[in-house]
This record gives sequence, C-alpha cells and structure tokens, in this order.
Amino acid sequence: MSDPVLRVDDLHVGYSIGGADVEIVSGVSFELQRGEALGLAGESGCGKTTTALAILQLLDPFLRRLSGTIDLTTENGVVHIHRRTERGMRDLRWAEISLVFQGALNALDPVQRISRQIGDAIRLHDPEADRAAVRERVRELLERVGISPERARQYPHEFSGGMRQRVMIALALACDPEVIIADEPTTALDVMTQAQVLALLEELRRDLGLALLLITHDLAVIAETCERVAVMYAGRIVETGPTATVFAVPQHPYTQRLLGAFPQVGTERALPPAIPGSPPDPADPPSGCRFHPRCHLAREACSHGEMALRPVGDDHESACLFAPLQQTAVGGGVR
Amino acid sequence: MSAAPLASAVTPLAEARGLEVAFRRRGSTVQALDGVDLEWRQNEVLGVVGESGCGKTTLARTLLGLEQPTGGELRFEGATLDRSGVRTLRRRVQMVFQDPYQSLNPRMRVSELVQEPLRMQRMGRAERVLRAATALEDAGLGPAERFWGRYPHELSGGQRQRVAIASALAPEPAGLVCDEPVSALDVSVRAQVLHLLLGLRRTRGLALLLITHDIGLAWALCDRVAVMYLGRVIEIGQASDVLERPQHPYTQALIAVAPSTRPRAPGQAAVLEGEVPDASRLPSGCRFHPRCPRARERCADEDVALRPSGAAGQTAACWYPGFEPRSGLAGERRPADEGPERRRGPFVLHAEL
Amino acid sequence: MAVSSETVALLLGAEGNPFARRLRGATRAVRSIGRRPLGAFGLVTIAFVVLMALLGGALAPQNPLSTASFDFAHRMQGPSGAHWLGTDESGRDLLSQFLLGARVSLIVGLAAGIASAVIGSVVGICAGYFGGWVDRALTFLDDWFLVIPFVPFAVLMAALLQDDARRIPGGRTGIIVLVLAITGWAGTTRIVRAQVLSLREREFVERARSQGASHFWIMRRHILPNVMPIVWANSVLIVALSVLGEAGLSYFGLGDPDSFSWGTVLYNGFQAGAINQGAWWYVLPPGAAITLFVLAFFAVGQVIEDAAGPRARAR
Repeated sequence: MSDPVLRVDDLHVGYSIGGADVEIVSGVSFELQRGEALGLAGESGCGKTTTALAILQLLDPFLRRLSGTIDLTTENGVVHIHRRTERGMRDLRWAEISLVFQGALNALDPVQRISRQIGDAIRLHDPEADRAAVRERVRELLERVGISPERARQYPHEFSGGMRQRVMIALALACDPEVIIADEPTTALDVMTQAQVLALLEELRRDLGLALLLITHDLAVIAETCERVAVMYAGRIVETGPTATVFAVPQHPYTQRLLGAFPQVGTERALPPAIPGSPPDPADPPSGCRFHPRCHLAREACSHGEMALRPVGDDHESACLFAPLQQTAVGGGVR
Repeated sequence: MSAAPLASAVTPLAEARGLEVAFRRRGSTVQALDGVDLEWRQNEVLGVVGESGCGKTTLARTLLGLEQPTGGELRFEGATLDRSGVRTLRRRVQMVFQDPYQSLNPRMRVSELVQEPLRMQRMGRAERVLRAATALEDAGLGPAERFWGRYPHELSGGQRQRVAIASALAPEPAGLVCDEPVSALDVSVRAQVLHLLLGLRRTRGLALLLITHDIGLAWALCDRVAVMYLGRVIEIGQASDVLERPQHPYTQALIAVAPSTRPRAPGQAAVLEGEVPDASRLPSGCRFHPRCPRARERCADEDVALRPSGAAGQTAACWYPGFEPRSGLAGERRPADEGPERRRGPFVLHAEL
Repeated sequence: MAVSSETVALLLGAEGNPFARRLRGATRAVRSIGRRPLGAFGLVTIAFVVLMALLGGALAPQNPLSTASFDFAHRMQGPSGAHWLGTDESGRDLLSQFLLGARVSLIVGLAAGIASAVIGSVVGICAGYFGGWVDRALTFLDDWFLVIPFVPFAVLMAALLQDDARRIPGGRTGIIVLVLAITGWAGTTRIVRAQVLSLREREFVERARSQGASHFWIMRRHILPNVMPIVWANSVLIVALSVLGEAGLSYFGLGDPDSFSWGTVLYNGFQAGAINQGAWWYVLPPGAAITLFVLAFFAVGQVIEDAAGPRARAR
C-alpha cells in the first residue's frame, strides 16, 4: 500500500563556521505518499522551510545539505535529488515538484501580466509549445483555480490577496507536477479566504492525485487539510502520525503545548499556559532532547542520548522518552 | 477567566452611535464605517472580529482620534469629542500595533520609546523616568535597567511587542486598543503576550479592545465580541453567546469556517461563496444578502439594523436570525447536494457584484 | 508595581549628558568608517587637508597675498630647496599658495555642501511629509533647480553680483558658495523626499501620531533621524562636488581673484602658460590635490552608504 512519491531520510542541512557545522535541519526523515497531504508543523526557525527548500535545492547560498538523502519517484524511476546538479534540478522543478510561496505579492512579478507569468512557466519546460496551446492551458489552469479566464491579462495588483494565492496555485500546477510543497500558503489571508484556498487545494489534490507537503505553524490549517502530520522542533521531528490521532492524543509535550496555543471555540474559555523560554539557537542546541529546557515533564535522562522517534501507537511515533503519555492535556474533545 | 458580565450602569469608555467615517479615494467616496453602533465598557475586553475591509482597523483608528468621524456620534467617557477632547482622548486610550518590527522607531532606544508619550505631555524628567520604568516592568521587561538603553534591533519580536505595550502603558491610559497584537509573533511567544495583556487588565483596570481575525483568540480572551461586516457591526454580545450560538448567518459562516484542530462533525465545513464586495459598490438592502444562504426577498429590499436576538444582550442585524445547534451554519449548503454546475468548487464567480 | 527610587536614580544617571552621547556616537561612526580600507583612505586624506587648512597659514613660508612675495627674478622656477613647489609667474612661492588653497577649497566645499544639505533636507522632508499641494509646489521648484545648468548660472550670478561683492559676506568667495548651494540642493531633496514618502507610512510614525505627536514632533524625532544616513551619504558627495565646482569656477576665471584656492592656482597656471613651458610643478599639485580630495569624499560617502544600506534598513 505504501507508495511514497517523496522520501527524505536523515536529512541534515546547515552551514559551516569555524570548522564546526551548525545544523538547521538535524536528522529529518519522512515519507510523502502519492496523493497524500502531509503537514509539517512547527514554529518559525524550526527548520521546516529549510527542509522544503532543500528538497528543491533552493537553499540560501550559505546553507547546504550536510548529509542525508532525498528521493523522488517519478514515472521515469527514482530520482536522487541529493545527487542532482543544478541543471538536473531545473528539469525537476515545476515539472515534478512545485512550490507555493507564502507572500503571493512578493512571489509574483508586479509588472508582468498573469498570463505571461504562467505562460513562461509552461514554456520553460516545453519550449516548443505553440502560443495557442499555451494560451489554452493558461485558461484551463485559471478556471481550475476558480479565476475567470478573462482576467488572465491582468496584473497581480489587480487581484485581492486570496485571488493572488490562487494565481500562485495555478502557477504551481502549470507543468503538471506530482508534488506540491506549500509554505504557509494562507498565513496572510482572512479566515474566509483561507478556507476557500484550502478547499481549493483539497479539491485539486483529489482531482489530480497530487501529493501535498503543507508547511505551516498553524496547526488548525493542518488539521483541516492533512491526513498526516509531522511536528518539528529545533530541526528535528518530535512527533508524527495521523492528524486526527496526533491532535486528539498528542504524545509529545511540545505538541501538547503547541496545540494549547490555539484556543478553540467550545473549549474552556481560558488562555493556554505560556511555553517558557524560547526556541534554542541552532549553533548551540541543548543536549539530548532539544525541548527539555522548556519541558514540563523534563527529567535528568532527557539531557542525554539520542531522542529517536519510537512507535507509540498505530502509525504514531514520538521522540519523547516518556511516551506513551498519560496526560494529554490539550487537544481533546469534539465540538 | 470567567465570563462575568460587567455592570453597564457605569459610563462606557467609548460609545459609537451611527458612526460614519468616509474616505475620498481616487475621486469616489469609500464608506469605511457606515453606521457603527458600539459600546466599549470600562475594564472589559471587547473583541472585534471580521475579514479585512470590514472596517475594524478604521474603527480602531477613529477611537484613537487618528480619523475624523464624518457622521454619527462618538462619545468618550460620556462626552462628545471636540478638538481638546481629542488630546485628552490620546492620553486615555493607547494603541498596540500588529507588527512589533515596524511599530518601533529603529533609531530610538527603549528608554526614549517608552518616555515619548510622556514627553509630549511635558512631564518632568524624574517623573517621566519613574513612569517609564514602571511601565517597562509591568510589561514584563524587568529589571528596567536591563533594557533601558537597548535598541529595538537588539530585541526579539516578543520583547519588542512588550516595549510597544510599555510605551502604551506609560501615560496610564484607561483603555488599550490592540490591533492583532500577536499575529506577527511566534507561537510560543503569543501566549506570553496574551497573558500579559490580560494581567494588565486585572492589575491596571484597563479596558481592552482586541481586533483579531482569530476566532479562537476572541473566544479565550474576550468578555464581549462584536462582528463587523462592510463597515457595520452586524452582531454583538457576550463572547460565549456570539461564538457558540451565533445568530447572524455571517457570524455562523465565520465560525464554521475557522480551521480547528478538533475533529469536525460532518457537513460543517461549508464555505461561503465569493468575496467581500468592494466598499464603493454596496449591495442594496442588507449588505450581506448576496452571499447569504438564508436570504429572502425582504433582505434585498430593506436594510436592517441591530435587533435583539438570542441571549440577553445579544443583537444581530438580520431579518431572519437564529441558530440551530448541531448544524453549524443554518441553511448551509452541503457539498453532496450540489448539482453538476457546482462541481467545480465553491468559489462561484459572482463575487463581482 | 512601583519601581524603587534607587532604580530611578540609576536610570536618570544612565541617560548621561546628551552631548557626551553624541560625541561618543560620532566617534563610533568615524571609527567604523575608518575600519574599511576605502574609508580609511578617505578619512586620512580629508584629515590631511584639514590639517593643511588649519596650519597652512602658519606653515606657509610666504604670504602669497602680500606684495612682498613678488620676486620676478625667480619666476617660473621648478622645485628647489627654497621653494618646495617652485614659483609662479610672479615669483611667488607655490607651496604657500598650495597650503592656502587647501583652506579656501575646504571652506567653500564645506559651506556649500552644508548649505545644500540643509536646504535639500528641509525641503525634501516638507515635501515628502505633507504631500498634497505642498509637495507639488516644492517638487516643481525642485525640478526647476535640478535643471539649472551650472556654468551659465554661475556666470550669470557672478556677473550680476560682482558689483555687490563687497556687500555680500565673504565677497566673491561668498558668491561662489551661494551659487554652489543654489545649484546643489535640488539633488538632495529628491533623495530625501523619496525616503520620507516611505517613512511616513511606517507604523512607528502612526504610533507616534496616535499618542498625540504634532507634525513637527514627528518630523523632528522620527523622520529626520531616519533620513540622516542618506543625508550624510549624499552630503559627502555634495561637498566633493562643491569642491570640484569651485575649482571649475575658478578655473574659468570666475573665482575670487583675491584669494588662492586650488582652482585659482590652476587658473593662474594656465594663464601663465605653465603647460607650454612644461612647468608641471605649477599645475600638478593643485590638480592632484583636488582629485584626491574629491575621491576621498566619494570614498567616505561610499562607505557610509554601504553601512546605511539594506542592512541597516532591514532592522
């Protein structure tokens, strides 16, 4: 049954300074199944965006993959992304994996019409395509995302925030990829618009059989869209499993605290307890479990050793020494 | 934190009746606020929720005296505002802005930032320093000496927001208007700042006006909640009433659509069609009727003001308000019911009204 | 939660003397400029010229302005033990003229540069901040002044004002400063206005306004400090260009015949046929000095702009 289209194994990404390696991503492994939506959750600085960029080899110049493998299954077989050159990546980007960025206004060229921008993406991978075919495809894509094709010749600033995000999605679909990575796709949007964009992603996933890697700090968005979730903290995955299970019975103290930070209508009307301290400096992470200085369950044992993910339930893994946890404090109950 | 209703026998901090604020933009007039009725009571936490463009930011700015009302009435501590009134207003109400990275002058030290409003009042130096230091400590940045000479770029996002809060606290206001105070902050820092705001409400007797798009936040923090749409308040009441038993279809949609980490009962994820219409081309009758799943003839013909509906103190601007439990959005659309022409998705393109 | 009086006393003391703070800030800035090789070159050169300007009068073996310096027997002589830079067509010591020239060039450059910077900043801030008709009017003015061609305008002003030269402070030199300031401010205005337009929308300005700040308060405390980096970078260039402009004017004979700036020395040199006679010692020192001096300002300006650039703005 397992049909992973993307496999990341023990990925380490970082930079070298003074002979030592500083890791932003510190041993991340996951599998994205074909047609599945996986959420990568965590605060800013936890390394989730860096992971996404590493998959597309779009890292900042001073960052690089230190070790680990990234495998993409295409119709032509398995591609080892970690071994690909820049030229090789150019064939892959957009044709196999696309990226939907957070700020559509920044990602779209303000002085080019939408039709041109989408058209350019198509032509990059199919230089022989004739103009009529490209035009037709642009129309088709815009319709798919719910934008009237008459608006194809408009400029980005003529669209509202939500519409622009849909243009971004159309752009991402231009070359029929297998995988879409969405980095905080709805953060700057209104609740209503956010719901529309998420519903669109869901519909496209169903209709086109796309795999979606959704990266965000907003757990609620993941809950609405993703079947599985991986929670990241300080460069590592601390818990992973089916979304409903992880959010109902979180098995890592960090996940519990994170869930608690999003009060839900219908639960007790109280503020969640604040998580003391702040995320660690990647250059000097805590030993052992990286969350232990801020953890309400921390003991002596937490500051030593490798915190590997261990199974705590059906397809549910946690990196906490004390899992399975008795107290699952926040996140329970149905509306 | 219990939802104890506050006695409204005391004069409210701010009161708006039919408040209008219009802007001239590119020749046409945009009615940012079009008849807002609102009461902000002493020591209460009032939430204002709505999508962008609904006027919540304009409302905040008008309450601070940054915008002039072009119609209707705005009273502050019982008195109507005039020129000198605006100056007093500025001392009694302060604002906390959304982006802590932008709301502090990068060239000013913390000490200067926090003392600035006091300097404007021409306070003496010793008293200024005392008030500023106290405000810093109350905002959780103690001991004051530690942060006194720092520049904003030396501080984290959460610390910067605390500096902004300290600067707002220094003039000892009666109310704080908070415009998305935590949305630009990291998740782990959010709770800290929220705790701070609530704590200040207790220790300093502050009233808080919390503008947010985050329903969960409004739920956890606010005593009362007002929902805005297209320049008007379309529902207002106790937070537990408005958010658990919303009467207005728009409120119901907002709440139904807000993503939640808790499993949803099936059929509840109905999404509203279209987008908020341009404020310069308002629909006739009830402004919400083109997108409303419950709309009937009367809604297109007659505009509607806030009317009592639901619990005591709850009002909604709807001809057919009402909440049916367990169905979320009354009269909602279930995706399964939709005919072939709707298969493409919920974003019907008649958003351009 | 009240704060203890010891803390208050501590904080009051910590504020310190504003002047001392500014001095410390200035020293820090100078030091950080000097750390870059380009900046070091610039600062050292400028310091050298300043030194010459200050001490020139004392160090100069002669006073070129006095008739006692004329010595026709030794005219147009190359560098020698008695005259390190040789003599001019009247036998006057060229070294003295060179040292004196430093003073005039520096003063004119600084005066014109500062005047331009001040006028340009004030106009730019007002135009950018107030917008509307104020902006339109000031920008219109600015456009006109940007377009004024330097040399014809200078000639015109010199011609118009030369009779009043005695009444204008500084005489002919004062006229030059005036001409340079009038033609120099418009560029600064453009840059400052653009910066103010974006600053005006920043949230910290909104915040100050919401707390009751007047327009003047905002312009003084929020706008001005944040445009200063750009003004500094630009002013340095303007000073350089003013020095060059003064040299140019003098070279064209529009300078002050009663003083010796480097440009005047060049002018005299050309008039005396120094090139034809191969009298390189006449024209090379002032020419090289002008070039290096202007380059020094450009270098410092570059370093300031790098420091005031995206890194600082990203804060």
